[in-house]
Amino acid sequence: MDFALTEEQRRLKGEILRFARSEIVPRVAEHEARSAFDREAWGMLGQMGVLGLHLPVELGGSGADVMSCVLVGEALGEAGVDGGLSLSYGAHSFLCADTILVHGSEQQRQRYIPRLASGEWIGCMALTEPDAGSDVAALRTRAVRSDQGWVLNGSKMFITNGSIADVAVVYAKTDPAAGHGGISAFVVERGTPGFSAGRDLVKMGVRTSPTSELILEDCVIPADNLLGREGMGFLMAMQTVEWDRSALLAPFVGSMAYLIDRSARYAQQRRQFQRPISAFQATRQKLADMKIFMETARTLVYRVAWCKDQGRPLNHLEAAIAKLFVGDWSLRPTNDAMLLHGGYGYCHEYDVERVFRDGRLAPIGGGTSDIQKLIISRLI
Amino acid sequence: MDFDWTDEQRALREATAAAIGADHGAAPQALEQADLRELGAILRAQLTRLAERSYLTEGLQRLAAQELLASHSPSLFLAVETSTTIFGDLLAELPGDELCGRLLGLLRAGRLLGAVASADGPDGAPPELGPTIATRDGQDLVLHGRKPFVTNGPLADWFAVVAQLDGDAPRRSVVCLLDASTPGLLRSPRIETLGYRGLAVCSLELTGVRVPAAQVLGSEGAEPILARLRAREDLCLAQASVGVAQRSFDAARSHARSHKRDGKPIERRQQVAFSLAEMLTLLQSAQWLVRRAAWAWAEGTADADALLGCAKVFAAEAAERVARLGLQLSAGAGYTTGSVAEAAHRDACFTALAGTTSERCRMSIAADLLEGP
Repeated sequence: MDFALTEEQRRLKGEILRFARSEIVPRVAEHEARSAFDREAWGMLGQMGVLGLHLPVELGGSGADVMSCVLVGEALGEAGVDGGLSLSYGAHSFLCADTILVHGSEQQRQRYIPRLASGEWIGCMALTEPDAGSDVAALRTRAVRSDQGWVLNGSKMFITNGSIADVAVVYAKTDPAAGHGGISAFVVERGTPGFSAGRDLVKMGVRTSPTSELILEDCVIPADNLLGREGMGFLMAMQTVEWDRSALLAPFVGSMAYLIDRSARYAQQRRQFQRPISAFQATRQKLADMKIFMETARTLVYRVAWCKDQGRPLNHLEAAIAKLFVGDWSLRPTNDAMLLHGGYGYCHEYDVERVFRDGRLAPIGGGTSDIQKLIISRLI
Repeated sequence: MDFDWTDEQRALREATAAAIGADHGAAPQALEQADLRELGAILRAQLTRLAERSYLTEGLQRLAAQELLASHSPSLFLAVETSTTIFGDLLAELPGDELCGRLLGLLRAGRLLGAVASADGPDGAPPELGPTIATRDGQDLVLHGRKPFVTNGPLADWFAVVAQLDGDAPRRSVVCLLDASTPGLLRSPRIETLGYRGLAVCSLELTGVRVPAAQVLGSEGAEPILARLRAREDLCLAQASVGVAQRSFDAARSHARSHKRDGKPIERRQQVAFSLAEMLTLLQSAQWLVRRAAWAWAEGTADADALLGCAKVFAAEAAERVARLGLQLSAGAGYTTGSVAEAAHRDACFTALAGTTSERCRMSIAADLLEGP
């Protein structure tokens, strides 16, 4: 057993931390206030190699391991990058690009991966529907063979990057009678007739990441746009879960480090009753609880990443435990950070309330806490 | 980074399982119900068996075996670790010393039981309850004082007693090694406790106890030794918490599988299943944090103290929650005296208040954040 990061991993995290603090964080407040996706920051992430971090070098990526992706996510959160940009990056790199990389044909890889790795194109994953979330078998979107390839009909809901994506990995039923085995995945490009984005949803947090409906109306795509084999969609969706519960969780862990730093500095400056509030045990207890949560969460997220790096398949239990812990146990320390800031914590300019709002996604996105409990209880 | 046990860790865990399995007397319930004489016999037999299987060694290779022992019987675990690890580490502070070397040899062979008397009475307590004072008398020290809550105290062969040197300002601490038969050293009757009833605890009265210079550790100031001692103790307590949680979870899962209502096992009820899921999440979260803290401490990393504090607090509180859920899930069967759920519920309360209390841990963690380590 060894919990040390390598020198290279430490260096990578430090570089991203410095880059994010100087280049991206100064832009966060303005974009967050407008609920606007930050394309310039996206471009910078692409130039830094973040968007294609784990993708192969020969396809424009950096060939990094999962642990490095987790450290980068953590660094973004720790720097103070908003959860919206981190979420867009996660959905793009891990839920879209990775699925194409792992299951796509050589032709599909060559067409999409370099563009996604650089950030020239934005990707999304379209699985959830208005009436089908974690119950994937309840998908209603249909894909029917035709002379021209496939015809897709249906609607998708809560799609991260939905309205800005150039390419979507869309899940649809190809054999409604076959349950999970009747789901297939397709690549659908922006501009394809019959494929459009609905309204962007107004959300509590992660506001700079557009979340929208996607509409498929007699959307015809070539036969070559099927990802992998027909009926393999459910497995593909399951394989994204580890990413959902490692690299996509990492920014939440990092944001706790950000909150700790902000809260400690505020507590030292803010004076009440003739002394800094950091002198009060109640304040110190809150800071300690944030740290305890962060170190526990960090250990669990690293474990999922390590398991995936070992090539162990799925790791459902490890992933669900990490997701449940980060989701449910982060509520109190993020709330504590806001309370510690008092009235200022309730105001936008102190940024604490932004992290609080962003953090509320953790027990919901990528499978709610109840779904994690369901998974864990089945694996016990 | 490597989240797997090494082959050596696995092998020692298996050997420890064999040692535990070979002695039914060490079953947790037997330990809880044993009188002092029986408890001493069980403990010494276990120490011998564990020594034969190389459990009583040093370092991280014991980590997996420690978890197993802690989940088998948290009381037995704390008794063994107090003697072998906490008392043993103090002896190892003087590697060239003849007495320490001899005692260490006996300890690792499972033929000696050690105890550490470090805590003092509260501030402002009367002299007979206050800090233990060591007064110089020629080359010797003479001890007066009282030490409350000494784990293994009623059974120990040797004690490490922490005392404050009289006359120094501020007072420095020393550690005195005392044979249990040293004149002036008196043990109180065994203290009855809420949990960890398989552990023998008493207080010590020290009245004019003479300690030769050869039996004094840290005569130039034992503060660094004591800091390591406290860290060791806190790590053992965190491991014990995980053991309590594991034991509680295992019992609850077993009950949920075997106990039927309306014709089906209660584990099929979502509330029960979700309770088990929460228990396992807390258990594994605590387990991994404690493992990481143990590793950091063994490696001497810069964040080792902070991690240890986090692990101690989290594991203690996780164990309390897991034990509470386990008790609820086990219903009447769990509420019955002698059940695992009932014992775990009592045991779980201990570690938050033992060693460095959760309150003090939190203040240390916060101080690190505010002022730097």
